[in-house]
Amino acid sequence: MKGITLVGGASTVRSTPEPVPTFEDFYASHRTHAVRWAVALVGDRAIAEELAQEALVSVANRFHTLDSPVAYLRRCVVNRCASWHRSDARERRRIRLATAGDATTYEPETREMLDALDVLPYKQRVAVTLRYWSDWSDDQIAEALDCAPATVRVLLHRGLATLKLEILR
Amino acid sequence: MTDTTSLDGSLDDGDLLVIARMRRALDAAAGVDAVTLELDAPSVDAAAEAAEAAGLASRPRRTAGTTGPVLVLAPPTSADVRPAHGTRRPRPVAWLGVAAACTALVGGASWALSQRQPAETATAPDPGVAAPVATEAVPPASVLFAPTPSVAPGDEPWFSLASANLVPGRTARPGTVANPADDLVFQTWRVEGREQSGFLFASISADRSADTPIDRGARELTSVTDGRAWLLPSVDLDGQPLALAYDVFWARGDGGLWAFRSQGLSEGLVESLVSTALPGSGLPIVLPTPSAGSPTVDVVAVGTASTRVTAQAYTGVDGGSVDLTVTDGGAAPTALIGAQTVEAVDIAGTSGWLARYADGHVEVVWDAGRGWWGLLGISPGLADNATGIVAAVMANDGSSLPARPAAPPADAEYRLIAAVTDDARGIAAIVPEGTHLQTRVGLSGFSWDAVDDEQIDYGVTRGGPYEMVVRWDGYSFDLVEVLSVVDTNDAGRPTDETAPSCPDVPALDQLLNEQLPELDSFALGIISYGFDLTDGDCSRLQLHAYLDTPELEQALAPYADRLTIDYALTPMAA
Repeated sequence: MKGITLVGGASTVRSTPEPVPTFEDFYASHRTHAVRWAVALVGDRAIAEELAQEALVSVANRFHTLDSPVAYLRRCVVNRCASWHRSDARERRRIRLATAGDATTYEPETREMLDALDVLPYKQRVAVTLRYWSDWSDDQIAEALDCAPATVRVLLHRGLATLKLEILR
Repeated sequence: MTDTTSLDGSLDDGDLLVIARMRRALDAAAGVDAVTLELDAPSVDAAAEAAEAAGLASRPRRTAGTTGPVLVLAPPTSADVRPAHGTRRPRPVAWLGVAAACTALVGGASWALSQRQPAETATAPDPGVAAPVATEAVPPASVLFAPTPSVAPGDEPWFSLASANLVPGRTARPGTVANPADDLVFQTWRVEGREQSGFLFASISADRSADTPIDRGARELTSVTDGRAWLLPSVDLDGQPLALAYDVFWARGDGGLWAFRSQGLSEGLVESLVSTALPGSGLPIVLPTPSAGSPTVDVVAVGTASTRVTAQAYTGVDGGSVDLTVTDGGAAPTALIGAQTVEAVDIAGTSGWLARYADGHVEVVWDAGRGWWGLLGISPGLADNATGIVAAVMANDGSSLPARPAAPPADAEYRLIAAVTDDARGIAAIVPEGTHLQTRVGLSGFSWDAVDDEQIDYGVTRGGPYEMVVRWDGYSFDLVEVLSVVDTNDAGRPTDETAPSCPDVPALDQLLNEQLPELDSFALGIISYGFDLTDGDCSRLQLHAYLDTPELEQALAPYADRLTIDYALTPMAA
């Protein structure tokens, strides 16, 4: 049995060796997922595709050294999106749009929910959206956030409560 | 409202309602109304196949609608990233994004089709169409020129907007704005005739893709002999047809892809212009010489997407906003796409075009010289004053130009550790190594013949990281020597792993979101900054810069207690 420590202390355990897929296989089977996860975290498909792409490039750079590329991809997507929220990426994106981009108009209900998701603290957003839209398990979310599964349940509890306040009031 | 969400995981009706609405909203944001993204195995497989066909560097995006031509791909870029001040100015057409989505245009169509009717494309291929072409890292012969290199930083022009009714805001100068995935080349023509005048825009992609027949309302241009091409009316993001605007998607026989969009030209003229287009040697596309009496056709711009931008936001004292932008690259004129009307104007001592859009906003585009372009975006609330605002744009005399990067000595050599990537835009180093805060910096003098560890995936060659000796001119690297390949297995854990683990720290948030953005990153040689928490230290930000210079040291001195600074370049010993 082989225990592999991922970054941040999370670990996965494999009982039997698995065939090592190529990155091409991995990319083909996980790109859609990565984009979807990123959409949940930034609320925008175009930005999500960029962030997912960056996350996939990160996976590509270390693919053959990773024991769990999917877990690594999950974490990369979560962290890339966190960086986007925190860093000047918004500004960079704005500048890109200033030269060549465009804006998307959503239905009011969609816009309202996306705005409400923006209100959530990032970890709560990760927990709520990835749990209830992308069907991640509590353990997978915990691994991506580097926290305990019990913490994820607290994040879900608080996140849903906040969303209800924002949406249903 | 009573908080009834249970910690044991059970959900009340309010929870379920919120979750249902959230799922619908995210479905809409993800574009699953147009492209099925449900995670059942068949659709994932189809998407995966399409993604593979589109290539790693391409980014298929959602279709603009569920009906009509499937080739009209519209990127759902967010209104949230528009300027926060003033009136939001959504642009009506996202053709650049459309073009990006169409880096493998027919592949994109194939992708969309496969999402909607997978059985049709999978089991009933058109016998008259060649078998799908395998994805390869070979650019098609139709791209016969090197993408226009970015102009030197010292050539950057700048403009000022002197109006008592506009309050200048912050000037933003990100060092690099092009995404590594943006591998398109753009070409724009101005068409002038007695009967009609307008523009023709083209994006050229090197991606190979599967040849899939396109019907769905599109008309195939039978006059095309090299590959297949389809013409269809253009629509905006809402799927509404645009006046006198047409798209032509041409799947070239060599596997390349030409995507055209017109503005202000009739369907017949667009067809006559496009169907006889040829690959050029100095220009990506050559249009036929017009015959006597036909409209004149002049190339307006050629080049890649912007790599550098300087932008200043202005806020109207009575509302509204204006964005003044200078950028390199050849994609700037595509800002005119989707315009209802375009007229010639004089701006900053030169000629430009003023475009008005259905939502009321105005864009002005002008050639700022030496490979630079100026763009002026005026929100609908100020559109009535567009003429006055245009007249207030002045070319600076140089005294108030944005600061230049402090150019290091031309012959100075530095040690650099970086991965190297090679895509349609050329060879570049990815710095800083081993962190998510990376960017792409041009690297000249590098040859894959000098190394043997490169990999080619989806048209992008990459290798390293390498320990290299380079020169640096303040903008790009010039390779002197590759010393070794760095063993990443011993490099420790990746550094982009733990960013979300840090709690919010107001002092760092202020530094990250307010203080550091005020600095002129380009002039100071700052590459990037953010949380980089490999050692679990949540009390500092990581800032990556090219070189340790007195100017940078002085600029960062007030924040030294909250920053860890890393330099990409180490001076070689004399």
